[in-house]
Amino acid sequence: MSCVTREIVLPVPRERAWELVTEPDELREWLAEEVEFEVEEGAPLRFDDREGVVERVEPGELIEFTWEDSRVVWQLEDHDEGTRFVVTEERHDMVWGPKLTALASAAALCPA
Amino acid sequence: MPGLNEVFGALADPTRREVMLSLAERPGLTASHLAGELPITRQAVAKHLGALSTAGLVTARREGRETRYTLTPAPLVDAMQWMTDVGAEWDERLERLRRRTSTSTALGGEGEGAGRREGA
Repeated sequence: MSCVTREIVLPVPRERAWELVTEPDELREWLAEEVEFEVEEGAPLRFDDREGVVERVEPGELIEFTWEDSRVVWQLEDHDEGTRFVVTEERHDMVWGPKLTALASAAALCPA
Repeated sequence: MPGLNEVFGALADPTRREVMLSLAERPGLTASHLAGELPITRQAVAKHLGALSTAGLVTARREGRETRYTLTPAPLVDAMQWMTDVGAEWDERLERLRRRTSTSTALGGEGEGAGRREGA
């Protein structure tokens, strides 16, 4: 585990999935109440009280942006039942590797 | 108490992660011990120990002329907690998105506060 990753299969075609993750009216339905977002590299964004910048856009496929202290990547992929939506959020290039993750887990279970 | 940014910043460096793991296996190592087993100078080790100490991840203890270092895992637990919280937030958001797509496909949209409408 190097970061937080989640994925979901949306029962809609890619084109519709792209709308769901890029159009402010759609984002208001599932992401945040207040949305300021433009699908354009370098554009500032705001989701409720989180601010950031759009860093990378590959239309129909990928959006990467910062918000607060994190970096978020959204990816869309074709899937038999629609479109797979993969979300990744990480902080400070958090590549921990298995040993450190195990150490952190152990520390969480048995605090010194 | 150091913030999560210090903790994640300290852990972003691969050499510092190696130092952490060495100290996890053998608590009480000195900077010289660490320099002996990692491919870096004693000065570099001292610098990394300083960063880890600022982040609250190691504590130094004087023993005669030597300083021994021990891991303090509490900030690691906070970092794990951050990951757990962030994951839970995405679970909620994606559940809202999933419900939106299943209702808009099957029912052509619905009013607010309708809650779950599945399987009927």
